[in-house]
Amino acid sequence: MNDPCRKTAGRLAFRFLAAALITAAGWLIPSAAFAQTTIKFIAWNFQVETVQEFVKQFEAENPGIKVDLEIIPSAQYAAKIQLMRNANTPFDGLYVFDHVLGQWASWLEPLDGYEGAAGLKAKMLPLARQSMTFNGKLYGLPYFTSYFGIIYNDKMMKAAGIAAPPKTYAEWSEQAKKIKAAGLAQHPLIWPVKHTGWGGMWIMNAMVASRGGKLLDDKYNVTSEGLKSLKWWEATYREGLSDPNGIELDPNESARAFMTGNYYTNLTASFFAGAQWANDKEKSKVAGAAFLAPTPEKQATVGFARMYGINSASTNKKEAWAILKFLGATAKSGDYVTPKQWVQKGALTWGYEGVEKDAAVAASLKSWGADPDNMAANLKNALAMNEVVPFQAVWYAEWELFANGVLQNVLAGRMKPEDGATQWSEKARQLAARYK
Amino acid sequence: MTPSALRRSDFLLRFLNAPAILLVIAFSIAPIVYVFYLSFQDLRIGMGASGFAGLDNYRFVLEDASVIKAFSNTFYFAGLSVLLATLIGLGIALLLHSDIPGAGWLVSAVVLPWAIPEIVNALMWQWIYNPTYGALNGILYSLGLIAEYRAWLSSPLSAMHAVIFAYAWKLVPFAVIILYAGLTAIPTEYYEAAEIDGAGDFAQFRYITLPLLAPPLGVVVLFCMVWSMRAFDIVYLLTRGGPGDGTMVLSYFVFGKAFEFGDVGAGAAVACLLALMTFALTALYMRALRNSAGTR
Repeated sequence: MNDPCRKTAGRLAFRFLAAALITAAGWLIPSAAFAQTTIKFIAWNFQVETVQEFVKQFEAENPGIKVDLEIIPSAQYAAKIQLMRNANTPFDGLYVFDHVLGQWASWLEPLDGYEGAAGLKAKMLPLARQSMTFNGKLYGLPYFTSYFGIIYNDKMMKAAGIAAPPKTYAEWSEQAKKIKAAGLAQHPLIWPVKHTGWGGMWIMNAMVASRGGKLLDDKYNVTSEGLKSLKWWEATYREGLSDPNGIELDPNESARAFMTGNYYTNLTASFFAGAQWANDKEKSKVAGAAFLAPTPEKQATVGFARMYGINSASTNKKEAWAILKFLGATAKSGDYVTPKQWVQKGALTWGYEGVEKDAAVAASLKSWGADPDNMAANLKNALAMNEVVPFQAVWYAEWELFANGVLQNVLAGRMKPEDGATQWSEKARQLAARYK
Repeated sequence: MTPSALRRSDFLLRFLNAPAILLVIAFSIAPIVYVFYLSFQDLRIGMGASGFAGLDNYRFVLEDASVIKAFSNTFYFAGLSVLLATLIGLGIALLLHSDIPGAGWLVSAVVLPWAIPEIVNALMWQWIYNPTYGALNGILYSLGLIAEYRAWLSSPLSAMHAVIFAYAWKLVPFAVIILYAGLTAIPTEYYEAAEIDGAGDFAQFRYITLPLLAPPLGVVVLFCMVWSMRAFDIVYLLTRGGPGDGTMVLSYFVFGKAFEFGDVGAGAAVACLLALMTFALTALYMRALRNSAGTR
């Protein structure tokens, strides 16, 4: 039977199916040809626009990878990442603090087996390599490294008739007294000693390293270098040389306080001497007069590294490694694209040998009075924190928060330095026993 | 109503209540039970294997001087916050009740802090207490009450009182609303009779207002106490427990222990102790209220 209605319906159905197939093919073919993998990358909120720009540069170089960038405020970063990991929230790459590496190593991806990792590891500065290695495995590529030095106000120093920044702790006190007596500063010394975030204890570690020692010995007793440093520091507060109002200032706030021109020195991370901080011509009253000097005595110091890592639960590890290499090492050209830009945009120093030789990097450092070779030498010689304290112990972050509180009590004169040292030891022993 | 109709109505009531009951189980009871379970687990992030820990977590936290300090700070913080909020709240409620012109407008103004989110409240006080440009320093300095700007959050004692004041400021509107409602419920005849008997203002307050205001006062103290015991936002944003451990309260301690340092078992143990303490205080207070109601 040739029913014309049926024929028409059949033709319509055929045309509809053909149209549907063509449309589906139109959707599927391009997406197969330009298949993109989206990876989730988590960062804290330092210079977000710069990070977004880096991500764009990476995506342009790797059209097959799209980056979903999530920014978390620094203050909540560690806790939120830990919660996300506990809740199995999917993410691929992330920023990692070196002081939580011991805690996070259980779920971070070891990078040693990745293509090119061994070569990169060999080129890293000892500080970067040590800070990112836990139990012999590499867990990160360097975002930046920094060391602790004295940022001093050259104008104030010269006004007081002082020839050079201090080379010993006794000289440091004498210089501060001279400046105070001359009425150049009410409290010449400012320190970042807020009990949360990095602050007091990292400065303490730098002081202990400068005396050539460790803070805690193998039995977690405070060493003689540790106690000597604590007593000297406490005396500067007792004698009115250090600003008591600065006791709740974090590193950023103490750097801003130094920028007012009311202080002689600030022992802190090297990047705070940069053009974005003490030498910011628009915001700092000490711009052009703020220089970096090494720590006193043996002039040894500690440093730290922030890094990029991969979540071991990631299903896009290859792509995560690609962005890690771009951000934490070289672009496809073999050039350290992002590490160099961080020097220029944030005075954040590098994790690989020889970056300072780049003309743009050297020019950027010289623009705020830094000597590139000198900075490179300091970075190369800076000790990793774990050479001074049990920095990579799982319990370190908890101990540090406690120790920072005790330090504040000592500096504010609420506790004797000896009692503070005893509390540091007891807490370290208690936590070490719990996490045995 | 027939038995079958009664059964149908009973079923309908249960059916209609079921969603609410499920929500309470899912978001209140189940988490409490789970935290209680965690407090007996050896669960430390970064330590690999975990298992049953018995009372180890409780032993560990009770031997820890930091926990003891956090307990004493919590009691001090809660006690003083409640006292301050109740006294100020009572004062304002009495003022509003005293027929002053514009009382209605004042009620709205007093309630305003209640509408401000906790985080905004904490950020506002962060600005007020700022050592270099804070409003408190500005006002006290311009009045000649301080010779130089002070860092209000840099010593444990002043930091604790600064945090308490900021938190009490948030509690006051609640106290005012409840106490003002309580005051309006007291019959005016009592005061008229007392006046005829020659009772002065203080005697009227002591023998009429205060006894009749006891139940709403109880509600204010109870709620404010429970809220203060678990105050977190204000401490987190203003002091983060510092300086030293000067403002370390239990809720912030639990957060740090469990979420920042990954000692979930110990954090859960402290949380359970805090919950137990709050339950005990509430029960004691309810009992005292019932007893006082019985004697009247």
